[in-house]
Amino acid sequence: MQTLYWVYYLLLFINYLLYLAVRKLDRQLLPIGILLLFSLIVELFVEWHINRSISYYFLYHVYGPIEYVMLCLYFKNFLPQRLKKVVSWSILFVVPASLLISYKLISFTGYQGLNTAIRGTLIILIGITCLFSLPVENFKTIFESPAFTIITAYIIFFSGTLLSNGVYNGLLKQYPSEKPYYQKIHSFVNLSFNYLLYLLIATSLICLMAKKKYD
Amino acid sequence: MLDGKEEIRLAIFLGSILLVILSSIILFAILYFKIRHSKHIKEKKLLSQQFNETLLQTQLEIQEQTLKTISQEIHDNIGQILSLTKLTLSRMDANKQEDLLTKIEDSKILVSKAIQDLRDLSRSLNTDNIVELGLVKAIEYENDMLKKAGFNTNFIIMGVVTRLESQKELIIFRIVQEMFNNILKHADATHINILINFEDQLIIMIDDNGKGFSHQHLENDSKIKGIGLRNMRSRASLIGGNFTINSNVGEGTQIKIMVPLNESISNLT
Repeated sequence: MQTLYWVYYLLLFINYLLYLAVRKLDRQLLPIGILLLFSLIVELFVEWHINRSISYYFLYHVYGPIEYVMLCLYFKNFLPQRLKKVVSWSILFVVPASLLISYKLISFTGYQGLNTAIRGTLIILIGITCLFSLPVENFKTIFESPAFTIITAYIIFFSGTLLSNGVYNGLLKQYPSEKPYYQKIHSFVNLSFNYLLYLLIATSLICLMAKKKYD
Repeated sequence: MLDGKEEIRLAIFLGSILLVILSSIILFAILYFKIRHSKHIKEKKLLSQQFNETLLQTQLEIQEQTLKTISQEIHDNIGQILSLTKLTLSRMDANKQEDLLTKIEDSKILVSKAIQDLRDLSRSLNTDNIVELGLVKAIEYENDMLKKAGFNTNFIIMGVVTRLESQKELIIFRIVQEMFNNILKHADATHINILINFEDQLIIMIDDNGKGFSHQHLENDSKIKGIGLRNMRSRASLIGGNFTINSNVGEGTQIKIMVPLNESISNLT
């Protein structure tokens, strides 16, 4: 399992390098680039904390809202003007609400399942809206658009992990004796969808590079 | 009540259903993109077709006007000079040596004037010449012609002179040329100001101190002149520009042509 995690970190790093290579080709990717770098830093910090058996959940409580902000900033590029405002306002509500839930309901040392589920649901909804308003001018097919692959990747990731994150805390509370089993399943689900997410993002970035090269 | 493992199974089941629903939505989004894309292509084709038709129409109008100008110029100017030459030569008396020399000299001057006028006409109408010289030089040349014709002119260039696509320059030049023709024929002006500004966008302003006109009078009484101004406006919009005209009786006329510097004709097609 540990090897799979290191491969995952490597995949994240490759994603960031790919972003650096294509950042001038598509300026809209900036929030995704920042998010990739931030994810890599957070994951390495988590790894460092795990090795020293220190609680690391607080890192995800900080990471979650930033991830939401960055994804909103990226998704906003593809939304109609009216919805752009809604998404901007949602940042102002979701970030404090998320931190408040972390502080009041879960505590910063607990797993932020509820927050992730709420943010995930919103991201899925915004992502779906984006898919229906992607600009048609510059691409012959939707698959040529890096935004399509990236948005789809995040929709799949959040929908795939939504239930596992949502029920995780409840299961641990209700069946403490089964904790190792649930942890294993939860890690497996999250890792698998993380792999899928970053493989899809890498694919879109590579395709973007290839498209610009042969255009 | 469900036990933990059953709850996980239920979560996996519900998660799978959610994924299936979202996959369907994604597939629908792909289909929707395809529909929007083909609609966009159709609209683009239609727009391109309309653009080409308008361009062709404008080219025909320009051609027609050019021929009209040639005909008028030959009739009013060169024709008159040559007639005068013929008259001078026909009235020569071989017996009067001194008179003969004077009339030959007069005829030589008249023929030289006719040649010069022909050269000017050719230069002003030759498309290649305008393309080669560029818009600013071509307008400057027209300005020189106006000066020769006795007008008091002010010619000012602001900003860095930028070349536009040749087709665009030609259309702008023909608008300017038509404006000069209007001033020559109808304005009774003595002073003309020409300003070409290349800052942010191309702005050409021409104003004269002529008799001016009221817009209402233009619409009611002078249909031909009205068509001319409409043509100038439609030509400017054809290249993504804007044409405005301001005039009042006794206050001269001012025209303004604004064309974006970065919008190319190829973008429109």
